[in-house]
Amino acid sequence: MTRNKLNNILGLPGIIFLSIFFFTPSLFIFRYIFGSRTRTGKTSFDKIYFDSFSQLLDFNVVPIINKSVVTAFFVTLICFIVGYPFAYYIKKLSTTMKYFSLFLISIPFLTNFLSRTYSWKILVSKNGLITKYVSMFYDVSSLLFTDFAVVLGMVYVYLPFMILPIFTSLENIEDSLLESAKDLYANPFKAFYYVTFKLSLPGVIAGVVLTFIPSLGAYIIPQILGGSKSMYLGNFTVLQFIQASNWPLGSLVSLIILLFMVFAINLLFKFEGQRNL
Amino acid sequence: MTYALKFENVSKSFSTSDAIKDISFEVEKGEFFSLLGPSGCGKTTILRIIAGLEQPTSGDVYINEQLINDIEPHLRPVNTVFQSYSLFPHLTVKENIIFGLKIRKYDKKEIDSSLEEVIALIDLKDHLKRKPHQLSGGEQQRVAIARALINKPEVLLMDEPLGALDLKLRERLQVEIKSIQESTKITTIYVTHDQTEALAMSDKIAVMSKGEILQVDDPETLYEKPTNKFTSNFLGNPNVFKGVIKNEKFISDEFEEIAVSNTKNGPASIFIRPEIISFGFNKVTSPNVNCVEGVVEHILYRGSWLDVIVSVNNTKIEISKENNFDLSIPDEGEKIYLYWYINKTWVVFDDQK
Repeated sequence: MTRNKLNNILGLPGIIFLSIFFFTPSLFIFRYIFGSRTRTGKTSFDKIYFDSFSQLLDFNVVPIINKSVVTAFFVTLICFIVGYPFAYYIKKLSTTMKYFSLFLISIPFLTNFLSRTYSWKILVSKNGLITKYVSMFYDVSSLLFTDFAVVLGMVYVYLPFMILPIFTSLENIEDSLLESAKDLYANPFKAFYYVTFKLSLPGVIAGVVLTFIPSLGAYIIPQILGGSKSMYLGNFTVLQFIQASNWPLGSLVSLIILLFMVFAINLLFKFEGQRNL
Repeated sequence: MTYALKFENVSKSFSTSDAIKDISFEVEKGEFFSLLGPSGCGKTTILRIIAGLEQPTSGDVYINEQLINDIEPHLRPVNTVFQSYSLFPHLTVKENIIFGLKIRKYDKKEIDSSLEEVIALIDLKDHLKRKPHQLSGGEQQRVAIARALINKPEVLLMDEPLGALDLKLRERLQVEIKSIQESTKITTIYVTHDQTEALAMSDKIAVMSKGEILQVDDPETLYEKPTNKFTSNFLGNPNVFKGVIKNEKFISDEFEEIAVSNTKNGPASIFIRPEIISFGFNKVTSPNVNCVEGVVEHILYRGSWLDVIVSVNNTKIEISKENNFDLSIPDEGEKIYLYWYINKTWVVFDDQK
């Protein structure tokens, strides 16, 4: 009894915080979806409107959703393809080198996110290092304001979020398990797949969630590296709220992003729950 | 004779030390063979070399007359029961047990019938759908044994499989493992530091110390006729005295003459096991026994037996007696006579290894 009460008290600050700053605004957003933008830019609530839903088609939002999801998917995929082997590599290093590598990975976090993204702008602009390299193979003058630059920027920012959880789960796998797999006729490839990889899946799932979700709602990176012509869900939403003063449509798009995230997380956790059976 | 396993002059050195030095031995088909020694004596290294998890620095290893030095671990016809169980935490008990068959792509029918066979030997029926962490230590070890056994290996390797379990359970599993081994006739190499375990279970025991095998014999010979000081000391808890043998008499600082049955002369140690010594309150004179006088110093009551520490000529002799009804327990400080058969006084000369 008392233990339960204590537990509730421990949860209280979090519950209050989330109620005020997450749950209540979510209700506002939900209400705004059924409002209507008046000529002056104010939102009218005198009855239930469905303007935002029809605008979804009028403003061609579906291709934007499409593009954002596909981009987030590829960013996550690239992060995984690059991140998993790298996490595996770090695990095999000596203890000193291991922590040194982890330190190197976390250095970018010490730098301001905006300035890091702006420095990518330099790299992909007309005389930028990356543009120069890519132009040796393709005929391009500048990579700035392309989807390629956006993907590159996102992979750069979110890669550590893939590497770290995978590394942690790999680190927890005992070497003796690989020995017993080998002892039970598994060649090195099978031992890796059936033991190492399967046991690292919780890390992979955490990495995928931590990469996919921010990529889907990304705003600053598409804004700086993608330019005004390239629309992603993040900057489209901001556009609706700030420039177009179309809060109902902005709210609807926010909800759509939220639903995609819930759907993605749900899918992954379902997969995580089933894989052991 | 057919040998299931043969070591020929196998050595393994690690960067800092020698793990095993010039080891040779043979294990017959169907034998229960134990490697017994204190921790760090190299017994686990031998097991890992058989499994292919370590490479010998020199020497050859044969399984069924076939040289296996260069065969990858996953292609060797051996399976290991590890001390730490090493069960796959993400798989159920059933999936753990059939892992070796599934990896080799056995079809479902074969897997099912093999599983049934193993379950008949090792009772795990109620646990098949559980995860290893839901089982007790003893159950986990049963799963580990089943997981190895299902593959019907040429040689089954067991690395201190009962080391982490409590005494009662250990004794029960000793019986269980032994009866499984007897019914399956699988050649088994069993690593342990527990002498009673090795004595109770093995057909043959190799006693190891500091990377070398000192003696290979059946349990009885090993206990009754050890050929070297280490084995004499390691098995049981003998009273040891250092001195010289001269004309079938042992002479030392403590004893003027203890009769022995060896005809050889020279510096030697004698070993008198606590359980062969009897005691009484009168002197015993017989040409077949040694008899010394002493004073009872301590009596350790162990329940089913007693350890009596007797001080004799400025030294101590420990005797142990079954606690049965006709045993008259002496008092501490009482004078008693100790006597034992002359031919049971075991002698190991200093020049014996």
